[in-house]
Amino acid sequence: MHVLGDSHDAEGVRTHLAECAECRAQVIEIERLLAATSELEVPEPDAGFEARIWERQQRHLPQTSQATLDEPQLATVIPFWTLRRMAGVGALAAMLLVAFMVGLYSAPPGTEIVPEGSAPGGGDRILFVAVGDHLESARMVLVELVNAEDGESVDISAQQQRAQTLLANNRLYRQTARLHGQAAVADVLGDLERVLLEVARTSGEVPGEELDWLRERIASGDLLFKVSVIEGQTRRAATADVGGETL
Amino acid sequence: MNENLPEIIARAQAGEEEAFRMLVEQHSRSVFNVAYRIVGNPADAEEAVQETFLKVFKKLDSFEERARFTTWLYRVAANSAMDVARKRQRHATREAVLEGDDGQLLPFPTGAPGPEREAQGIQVSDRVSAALGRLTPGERAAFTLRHLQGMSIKEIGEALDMQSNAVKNAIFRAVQKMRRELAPFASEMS
Repeated sequence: MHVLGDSHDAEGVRTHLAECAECRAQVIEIERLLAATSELEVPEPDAGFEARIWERQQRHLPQTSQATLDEPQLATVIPFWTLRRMAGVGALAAMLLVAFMVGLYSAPPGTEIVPEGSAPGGGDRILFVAVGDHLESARMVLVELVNAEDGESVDISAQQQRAQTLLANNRLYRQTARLHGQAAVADVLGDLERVLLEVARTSGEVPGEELDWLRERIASGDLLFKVSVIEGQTRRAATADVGGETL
Repeated sequence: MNENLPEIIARAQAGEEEAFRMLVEQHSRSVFNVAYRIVGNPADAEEAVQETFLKVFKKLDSFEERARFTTWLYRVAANSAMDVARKRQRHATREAVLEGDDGQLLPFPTGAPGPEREAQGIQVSDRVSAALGRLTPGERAAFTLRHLQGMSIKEIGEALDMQSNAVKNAIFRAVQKMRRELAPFASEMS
């Protein structure tokens, strides 16, 4: 540690070294070792290194930005009820979704789940339908992208416009789920939001590689399947609250 | 370019993407340098660079102007490189278990001399690389940050989430192991 400058008693060590040839030889040996280590060459990254790093960073920026800014701001700056008043029906639907998902994740297998306090109201049913519709629309965007015809350049302008309109509600649902500790739901909605955001940010006409990349994002983590599961459960909740009466 | 660094950081903290891009492009090579010395191969070092800037973006708000940006950045880089090295080590250990190996793994992927190169007479730097490769990720990171980046024990402890005594022990063990490994070649290092 003395050689690296971390000795407790540097002066004492120096005095000892002046008198002890054996320790002096050891210090010289370690100094040589350190010098040899300093001279180790690090390979120079190729010319496109910075651009490559930035390109990958850019892909993560939106999701990182949301994780950094949204939850803390909403949790600490805007009281939930203010948020809810601001958001109106969308937030209420999100609350119901979260309440529903609490049941979904905690009920024994095979139990038909109806969130406590939400069963009787026809208004609740409408809100479940709204959430279900949102998830269905988002799922359709994903399905269309997955099944789009390959080509050098692919027109996804219809999906891009729908993704833009879906983003605001999706973000609201995700934030509400997160605020209420529903990490599993928030994570799925977060994954969905990242893909919607990427689609919304395109120019509408994308190169084939970009479409492939979007497809990879959709395929990773079984996003389509997870969205379908939540959508299906929401639909069932919408019909179950009036004893199975269909809408 | 560095005279504008505080301004660039402030703009990045305010959420300006272009400023963050400048930070990434200006510092990614030096971060690669730190990471490489810990993980030991270019691919893992590049992964550590990616992880570093993702963390930097998330934590940029917590960076205080009075601190030195590069010191803070290298701490994040060291931490990310350690994570990558540990992940690689866990993966290698799993593979070794499957293959019935003895678990003595973690070769430093560059420069480790095989029998043929040994016979041909390899460079001292290759031997040093191989010796570094036999350190644990923690030992390698602590040693690298102290000796090559000049960080204090306290800073290394913060970067690697270790107590000061653990940092000192890791550095001590690293030096001892390397001395043992390189003892046969001591005369070549003079």
